[in-house]
Parts: sequence; structure tokens; C-alpha cells
Amino acid sequence: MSLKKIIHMMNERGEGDIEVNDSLKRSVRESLGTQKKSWHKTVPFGALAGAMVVMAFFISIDSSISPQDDWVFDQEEDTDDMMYGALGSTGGAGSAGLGSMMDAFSNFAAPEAVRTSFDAEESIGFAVGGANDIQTFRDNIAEGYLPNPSALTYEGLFYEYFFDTGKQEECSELFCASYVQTASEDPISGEVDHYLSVGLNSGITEADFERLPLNLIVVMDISGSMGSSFSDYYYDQAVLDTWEKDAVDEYYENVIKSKMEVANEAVVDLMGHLNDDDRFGVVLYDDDAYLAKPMKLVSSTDMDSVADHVMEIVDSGGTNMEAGMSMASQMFDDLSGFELEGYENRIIFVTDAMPNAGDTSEDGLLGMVEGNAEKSVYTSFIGVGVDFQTDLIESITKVRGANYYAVHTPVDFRERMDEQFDFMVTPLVFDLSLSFDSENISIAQVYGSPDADRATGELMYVNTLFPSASAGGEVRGGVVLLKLDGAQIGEDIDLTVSYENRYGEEFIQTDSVTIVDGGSDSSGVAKAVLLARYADLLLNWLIDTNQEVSVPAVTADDGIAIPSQWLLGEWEQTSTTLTVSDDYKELFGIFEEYMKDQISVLADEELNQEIDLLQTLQQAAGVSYGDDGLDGDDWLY
Amino acid sequence: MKIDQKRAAFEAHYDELFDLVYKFVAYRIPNRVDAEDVVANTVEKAYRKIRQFDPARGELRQWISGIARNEVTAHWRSSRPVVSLDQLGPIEDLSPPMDGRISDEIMVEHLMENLPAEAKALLTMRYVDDLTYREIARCIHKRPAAVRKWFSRMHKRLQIQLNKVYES
Repeated sequence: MSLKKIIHMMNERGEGDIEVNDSLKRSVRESLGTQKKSWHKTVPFGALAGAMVVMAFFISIDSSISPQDDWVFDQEEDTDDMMYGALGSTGGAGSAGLGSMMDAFSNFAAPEAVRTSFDAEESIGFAVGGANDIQTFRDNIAEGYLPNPSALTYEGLFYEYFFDTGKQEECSELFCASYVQTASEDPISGEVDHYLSVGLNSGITEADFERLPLNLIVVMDISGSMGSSFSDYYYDQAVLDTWEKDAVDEYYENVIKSKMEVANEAVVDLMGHLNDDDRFGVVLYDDDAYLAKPMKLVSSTDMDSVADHVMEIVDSGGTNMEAGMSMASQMFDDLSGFELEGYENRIIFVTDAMPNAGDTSEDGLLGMVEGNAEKSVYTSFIGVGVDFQTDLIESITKVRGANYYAVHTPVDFRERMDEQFDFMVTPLVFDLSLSFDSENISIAQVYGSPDADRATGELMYVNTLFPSASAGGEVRGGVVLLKLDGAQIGEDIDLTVSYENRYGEEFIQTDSVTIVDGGSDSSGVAKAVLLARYADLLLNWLIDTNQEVSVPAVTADDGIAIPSQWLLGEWEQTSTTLTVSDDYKELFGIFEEYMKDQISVLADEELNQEIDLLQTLQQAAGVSYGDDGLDGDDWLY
Repeated sequence: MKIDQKRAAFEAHYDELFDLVYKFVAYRIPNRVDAEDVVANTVEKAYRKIRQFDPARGELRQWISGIARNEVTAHWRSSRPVVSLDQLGPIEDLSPPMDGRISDEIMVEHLMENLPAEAKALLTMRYVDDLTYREIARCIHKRPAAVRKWFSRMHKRLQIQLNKVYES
């Protein structure tokens, strides 16, 4: 019997022996009866004597309830006088010290006792920033829409899976890279490709990890597009306008939840992860930005009442993301250094990301996100709806400390936040770069990093690493994969990795790897190669379909080619019906067989969702390139 | 479930829920006066926040246990230090109480008799409530390193003792 089980038994036995104080039980029951009456009855106003009694009663209640409902937004009122005017109230000086967290998050040698005492205390790992899922891509396929190519990111796909990082030794520092090299045949062409996986390990144990107190501003999109169904494209409204009224009413009756309702629930879920020593504020925006709740300590906020207000938010107006971000940035600027230091500082944007007012350029929002990041105020985007504009967000979340998630369902989002909220707000490693010293080998492609386009022939760059959950020695999203050009069997590569911790201190590690002929024992690199090829195939299909290319980029001669860059569209988008050409249906069939073989070797049943997706695509409506049936350019602007 | 239904469910199971909270809290906070304050706060808070109870996520018992756990943690953090780690160890004689095979029940009872109430509370925080060393350290106003050290000592002693019991 394990020690843990014994202590559980002691606990059960110990609790069982305790005698309950029945007198206390009765008195608490009586007090509940009193409270029930006072909470649910309207306060009577009448004669002076009566009013005095009421006041005395409420004074006694209020004296025991210090948290305040400081929600200031009223959607019924004219909002002009609320814009920007009520900023600056932050409440509470905050008292979190830096000392203990400095110990945990600086480059450290983990105490021996921590690493060896308990099996349950395995180290957590790291994952890159940027996208944390490909949920928008999956939802579009499931709903019969053709996704944007930007909805499918390598890092988002990787983050949905756990990887063996190939770690050979215990990591005793903040970050440790591990390397596994492998050779693998392309399933379409049969040509051998060489890959190197970079495992993202840390010396932090689950027990050691605790996020700093958090200054958090949630910026909520309340624009008109948020009122459409979670599973519809808002800008398909033009089609609805041509319908008879009865048909439109029937359509809306069948709508399950609006994006606004889903967003409200998501924000209330986020609020559930805040601690008493966190600060929390809310900004809403449509055409303009409105302060809904000043930033105050959670301990001095009536969070239940604020949650009720959030659940009552309804959609209206245009979409001026810049205004929302500007107000949130201003609120952080108004915090004193004392209030910022020793805190995680983060803005969480909850949106469908379809700006149509203010500065809608990528640069306008990007500039503010970058400016905030320089002040260690980082940004997360929570995407809502199948028409979540991934083009815009994918480009912005390449900024230091940024990341994004998509809400699939409220329940799914809640479960993910239970595991990932603390990690999501705690970037720990910055400016990770890996350089090669090799005469012949160069990097052909980087998979699993939003900064892949910043890679050069001998250098890989990752902007930010966030802590990531581990299970059974595997880390969620715990690898970055490099496809190598010019690899020669037996050649040694000298690798140098450098990174900064959150305090700007730089660290350097060196290692070497020998190019081998054949596969690796590590399941991590094999899974990464499988997923990278899968993503490449899907991206080639999406780009070819979007660009109406007549010959698929993936051929028996060239294999699964590295996808070309695609042009970003403007932000408002309409749906395009899912279509798959016969050529790609055949390719998906070949890849399905390859993936099934790999799944049996990797023993990861989660991968079966990709088999389902490939089968869905093979059953989708067919089209030959050049047919009139293929939708053309679908950008509105 | 509407809020009135939630409130009715709470009231119908009041006795059971109160007992659950009372035993949960009293085992973790050895001082009876402090524990009863926390019990009252927990039950009152749960009733006040009954709107947040979501039957889809679990039963009332699970929900109120979560609130109780948070209240216990908040109590530890806000109270003055009452635990002296140095005075908690070493554990008194934990040699097997009898020769030959020993049932799990008797062994657990024996261990409990020899552990101070504060030690039981700390072990419960760590192994039942799954608090991290850092969280426990914040609760009892000690340095994380001191807590780790105490657990390391306690772990070894309990393990040695249990091995002896099993070997016998």
C-alpha cells in the first residue's frame, strides 16, 4: 500500500471520528434562513422609522461583506461619457513578494529532494506561444466550410498532442533542449527526409510551479457579429436578408448559442481561475471602447455580481478592436510600478476578430500588442465562432508573450482552462535560438513554432515558451521539428541554444548530434514528423483550393511539398463550401493508410481524430480545378 | 436546474452537507474554534453562491468540498503562524504494535495515534488536498525549503516505519 493511500485512509478514519457540533449546525441553518429573506426581497422604503430599521439591517449585513460590485457599464445608457473617463482606479496596493517566485523561475538547480522524493512530481515541459489548437480549422471542416489556411498552424496542431521529448538526462535548469534525429520516407514519393526534433524540457516540477499574481484585463468584443450563431458565418447575413421573415425566425430558433453567449461563459470561466491577490478589470468594445469594470484586487471585488453582469452582456455596433486594446493598454499604463512588478500582466482579448471600424490594419493592433509586450504586458486571444478570423490573430500572436486559443464549446473551453490557465498567463523563456555549425546541413522548414518564418539556413528562433503539462514523461506540444536539407549520414552537427529568462538573463547550452540512417526509438520525433506531413498536405490542399491551382502541389515525384506562403485576406469573411478535388481525395486516402500504420506504432489513440478528419474530407463534395463550381475570391473588402 | 431548485436541493441535504464540511474542516484545522468559524463561513458562502453550482460538473457534495478546501486554505494564509515545523518532528515511537501480520486498518490507526494533529493536517494538505509545497508554505507562513525539508524527513520516517510493519 502506498504512502499516499495510507494517508488517505488516515484522513477518512480521522474525519469519521470527528463529532459534529449540532448546536453550530442549527445556528448556521437559522442564519441561512435569515439571509435568504434579505437577499431576495426588495428593500422597502417608507416611513422614516421603517427606513432607519432597514438601514440598520443593511449596515450590519454590509459590514460583513467587503467585496464590492464595481461594474460600471450599462448597455442601456448612452456610452459616450463612459469612454476613457473612468480610468485610473486600480484599488489595492498589492502585496505579492518576488522572492519565492524568483527562486522557482530563474535558472536554478532543482533541489535533489524535489526530483527524487515522489514519482508524481515529474517535471513539466515547455510549449511555444502562438496558436494553442487548430479548433477553428476542425470546426469549419465539421460544419462543411472550407477553412482559412491560417486556421491550421503547426504549433496549434502540435499543442493538441503529447510528445516524448527525447530527454536523456534530468533537467536541472529552467530550460533544457534535447535532440533526436531521424530519417523517414515520404509516404507519397518514397523519398527519405531527414528531421531533427528539439525537445522543450524544464527543470520545474508540477509541485514547484505556481504562477505569479496576475494583473488581468479582459477585453470583450460586443460587436454585432458576436450576436450570430457560434456555428455560422456572420457575414452570410446577406443571404438571410433575402429570406421570408418566417424562415429567418425559424432559422434563429434553431440556433443553439450566439458567440456572445459563448464568450460570456468563457469569461466567467476565466474569472474562476483568479486568486484573491490577482487584479481584474473588464473593457468592452464595439465601435468604441467602454470601461465595464475598473482593475481591482479580486479580494475586494464581488466576483459573483461581476459574473452576473458579464452573463448579461449583449452584442451591438461595429468592431473596433483598436479602441478596446487602446483602453486596456491605458489601464496598464496607469498602474504604478509597484503594482506591475512581481505580477504577470496580461490582456485577454475575447473576440471573433473581424474588425471593421477604427484602424483595421494588422499593423495598428500589432503595434499596440508589441508596445505592451515591451513593457511585459502580454496578450492572449480567445477566438469565438467558426468564422474566427485566424489570419489576423495568427499574425499578431507571433509577438513576444502572445498566444491564442479557440473556444470549441463552453464545456471544452472550461476543461482546457482547468489544465492550462496558469500556463497560459506565465511565459517563462524568451528569445530561444538554436544555431547549427555544419558545412552541408541547413534548415528547410521549422514545424511547431509561430516564428518559423524567422528561421534562416542555420538558425531556428522561438519567441516565447510557456510551461506545458506533462504526462507519463511526455509533454503537451513539447517539441519543435526541423526538416533538414543536405543531411549526410555520419555527419556531426554542433548545436548551440541560447535563451533569456523572464528577467532578461541569457543562458547558453551546447550539444552535438550525429546524422543517422533510419528511424529513431523516440516516439516524439516520429509523431512530430507524422503531424508535420499531415499539416503540410492539408495546407497544400487549402492553398491550392483557395488559389484555384489546377495541379496539386503534392505529387508522386515531389512528395508532400513544403506549402508556399499565402496572402492574408481582409478580416470580414463569408463562408466557402467545403470542396475537395479528386486529386486530393486520392492523396488523403494514401495518407490515411500511412497515418493508420503510424498510429499503431505510436499507440496514441488521440490521433484517430485525424483519421476521422481525413475521411470527412474524402467524403466532401468533389470539384475539379478550373470548374465553375469552385468558389472564387471570398474576401469582401 | 433553476436557482430555486438548486436552493431547494441544498436545503434538503443541509444536514449531510454540513456534516461533510464540518469533518473536512475540523480534520484540517486542529483548533476547534477556528475550525467552526471556517465551517460556518463555508456553509454560508456555499448557500449564497448556490447560483454557481453546476449539476453537470458534479454533485453538491463535490462542489461544497471545493469551497471548503478554499476556505481552509484562506484560513491558513490569513491566520498567524501556529505550526512550528521543528516541534513537529521527530515522530514518536512508531515501532510495530504487534508481531506478525498487521491489517491496514490497525496500521493506519497506529500511525494516527503517534502523529500530532498539526502533522496530520500537513500530510492531509499534501497528500489528500494535493497542495504544493509552496502553497503549504504560504499557508503556514514558512519558507518552501523548510516545508520540503520537513516532508522529506517525514516521508523517509513513515516509509521506514511502514517497511518495518510490512516486513514484520
